[in-house]
Amino acid sequence: MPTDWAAVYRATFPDLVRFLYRKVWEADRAEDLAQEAFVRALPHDPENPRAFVFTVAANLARDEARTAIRRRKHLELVKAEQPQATAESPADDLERREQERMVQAALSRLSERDREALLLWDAGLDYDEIAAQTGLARSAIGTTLSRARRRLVEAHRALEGTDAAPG
Amino acid sequence: MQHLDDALIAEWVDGGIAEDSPRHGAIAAHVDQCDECRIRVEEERALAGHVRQLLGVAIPPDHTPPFEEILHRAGPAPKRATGRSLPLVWRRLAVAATVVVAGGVGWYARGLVMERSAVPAGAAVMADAVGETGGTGRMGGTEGTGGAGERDALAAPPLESTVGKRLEVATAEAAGRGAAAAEEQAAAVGDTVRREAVAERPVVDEIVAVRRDAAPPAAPAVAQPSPMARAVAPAENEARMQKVAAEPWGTTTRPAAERALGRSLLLVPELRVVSIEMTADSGMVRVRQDLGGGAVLELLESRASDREREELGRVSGLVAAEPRAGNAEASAAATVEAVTVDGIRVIGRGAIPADSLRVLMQKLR
Repeated sequence: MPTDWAAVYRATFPDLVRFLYRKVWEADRAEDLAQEAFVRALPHDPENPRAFVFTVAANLARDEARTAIRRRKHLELVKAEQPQATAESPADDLERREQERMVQAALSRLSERDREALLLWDAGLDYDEIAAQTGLARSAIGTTLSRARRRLVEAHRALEGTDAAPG
Repeated sequence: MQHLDDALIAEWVDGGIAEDSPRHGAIAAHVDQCDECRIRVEEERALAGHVRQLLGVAIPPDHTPPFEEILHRAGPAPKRATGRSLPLVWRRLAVAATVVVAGGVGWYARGLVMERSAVPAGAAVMADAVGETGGTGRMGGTEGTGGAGERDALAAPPLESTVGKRLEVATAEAAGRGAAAAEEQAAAVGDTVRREAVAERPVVDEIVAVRRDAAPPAAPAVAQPSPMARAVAPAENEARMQKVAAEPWGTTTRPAAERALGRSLLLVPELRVVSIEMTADSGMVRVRQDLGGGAVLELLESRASDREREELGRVSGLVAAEPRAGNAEASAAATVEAVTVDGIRVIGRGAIPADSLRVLMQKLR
């Protein structure tokens, strides 16, 4: 039975954008890459469509990071239809950005493997899917995730301490 | 049962152990009985919750465009990703058609979108001009003073640009300004007509061809290989084109093609894109746009270096000519022609059918 990509899309797209956002740290770009991942996945009929599209997306993000290509947004129509950003007060917006910056910095302190596993876990992939995506043994996923979680929290605390320190 | 190790605790917390498996029951029983493991499970659960909370700070706006947007972006009739490879005979025929016709038509679209002359003319002029060229509407090309920088600038304008904007971008870039400044200027000036002509050296690795993919009986003849076209298609370029055409082409998307090229695709505004294909090895991109009446405008682009482009332009052997405003004009060497329609000066080489050219010009106005 052919893949129902429309259903996969509806169930996966937000998670995929979130996953990509934490790689490229640019909302428009993350959405663009997520769309591109689905475009590339459409002609295929994989066993696990959700894992497949994450694999495609991860490769796209990797290629993008490698070549540092920044191109214009492709679909002006989509851009026009995008909802306006929520009305945050400047102070709230500043604080949110600062928190995000710290999370970004904390994530950057993880090894690439730990970070990838952690982001896939947060995106809702199961252990088998994370193993397939990262190339790790299935039995190593639990250890990897546990370590990644611990290190992320430690890194974040260290950054908080640095920011809070005087001077 | 032994104490749970870190991996098992993490998997347990993450719900990675199926409830109907024997392991699930055994672990649940152990956690109930073992204080140490229960504490570790709770710690891991709290840690996971904390991480979720941290990562929850870094989330983009929740927006899921309709799936139809994906289908639209994918283009018509998505195909399997296995590269398409025509039978050898048909590939050779395709090579022949592409090499001769494309090699002749050459820099047609670049000329279309980047130049306007000082003397506007009406649509009737176009028809007359085509008639004067014996019904085939052969268009000429010039070898100008434009260097690699100008050609690169042509790749920079946005895909959505109007003809006027493309013109402004090209001319601003030719004046030595950056692409961003050129775009700003284009936006400010709008669709006004800039009178300065921008000459462009024909580059044969970026080629526009018009040919017939399907041949409806009532449709006019299209792009017969002309002696002129053969004359301006050097053997080196033919060999290059044959090599490229022999590669399998796979359907791709516009973003992917642009990423491969490292620049925007050159498309004729408002012409429907029939297909975008790319070779796996050489990274050539082929875009087909529907001109109507069964004719297809075909654009080949590659990621050639500036040096390579210069070389290809040099060996094409075109005679420089500065077309005068008016109807179709042939150069002294009879290898280049130009036509002015509504102030747009069309420069190219090779054969193009009159009706297809008319459609093209209408779209460009």
